[in-house]
Amino acid sequence: MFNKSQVEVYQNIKAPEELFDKVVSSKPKKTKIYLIPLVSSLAACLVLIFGVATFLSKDFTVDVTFNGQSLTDSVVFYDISPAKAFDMRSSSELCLPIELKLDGKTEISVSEGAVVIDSQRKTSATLEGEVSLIWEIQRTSDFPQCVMTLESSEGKAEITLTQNEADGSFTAKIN
Amino acid sequence: MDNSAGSKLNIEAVYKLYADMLYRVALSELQSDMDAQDAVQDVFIKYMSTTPGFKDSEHEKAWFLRVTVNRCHDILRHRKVRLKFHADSEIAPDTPAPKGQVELFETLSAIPEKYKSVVVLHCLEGLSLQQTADVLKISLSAAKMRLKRARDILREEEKDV
Repeated sequence: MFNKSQVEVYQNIKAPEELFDKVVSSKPKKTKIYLIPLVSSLAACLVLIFGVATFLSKDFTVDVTFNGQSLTDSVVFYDISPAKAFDMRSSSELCLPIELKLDGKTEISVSEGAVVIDSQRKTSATLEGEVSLIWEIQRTSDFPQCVMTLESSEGKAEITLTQNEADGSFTAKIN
Repeated sequence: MDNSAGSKLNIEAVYKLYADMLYRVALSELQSDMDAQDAVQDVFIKYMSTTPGFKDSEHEKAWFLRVTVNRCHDILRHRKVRLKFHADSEIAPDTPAPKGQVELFETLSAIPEKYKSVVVLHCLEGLSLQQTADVLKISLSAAKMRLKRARDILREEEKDV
């Protein structure tokens, strides 16, 4: 590609003398830290992380009207008077009317008793939209803790029903 | 001896070792004396700023060559009007270009930038193809291919002349 004399010409090229002075008088550059882009990048990352975390941790919420009263998803205690809770049909059963507003398809199951939907008695069912049901639980002297589980693709909620031994009232709680 | 005096001595020694080679490479890439000087100065500033650790002298030489080639490519990218080599302008502004240098740089200017580094390092600086590939951080086969294409281009140029 290049003959010997061309390579020789090339090899004889020397750096100009003034370049030495330029290099020796040069000062090393300090590494610049660009604070504004760094901070804005950090802020953007934090916003993104917060957004994703908020989205992922979004609780499953469901509107529940329990025995005629709204049961929010925060810790709410609701006392049910045994007298009101007794249904006329059966004195040995606790019949709790529940209204649900469900966003999507939600599977409902109960640990004790059964739910009555459209006159059908079930221990679990898949429901959607606005639903009215009655939760029937066997009333015994040793009342167990009863749990109604509501589960959809968005998450899970539980309605827990316990009896207060002191006055025999019931407490409903959703979490 | 304080640190600054020590580092000054060190930079002088390193300069003497590599300056001519780096200037030749930069001049071949940039075809401009001033740009080549700027590129070499930038390389030494980078050397002083980062003080990279080298395994051996070969590693050090490869680092200097790689940084020089990269700096030249940066300058070429940013150059708005690409300078073409002319005997009376950029190569030797104060002294006339030595005999043969004009022809050499005219030949180099016919080679596209992408292939020029391989040609300069391998054919003119005398690096092996593997060393050239290492400096440019390309595969050996890519280096061979670039060299072949540069040869083909020069052959075509000769035919046209």
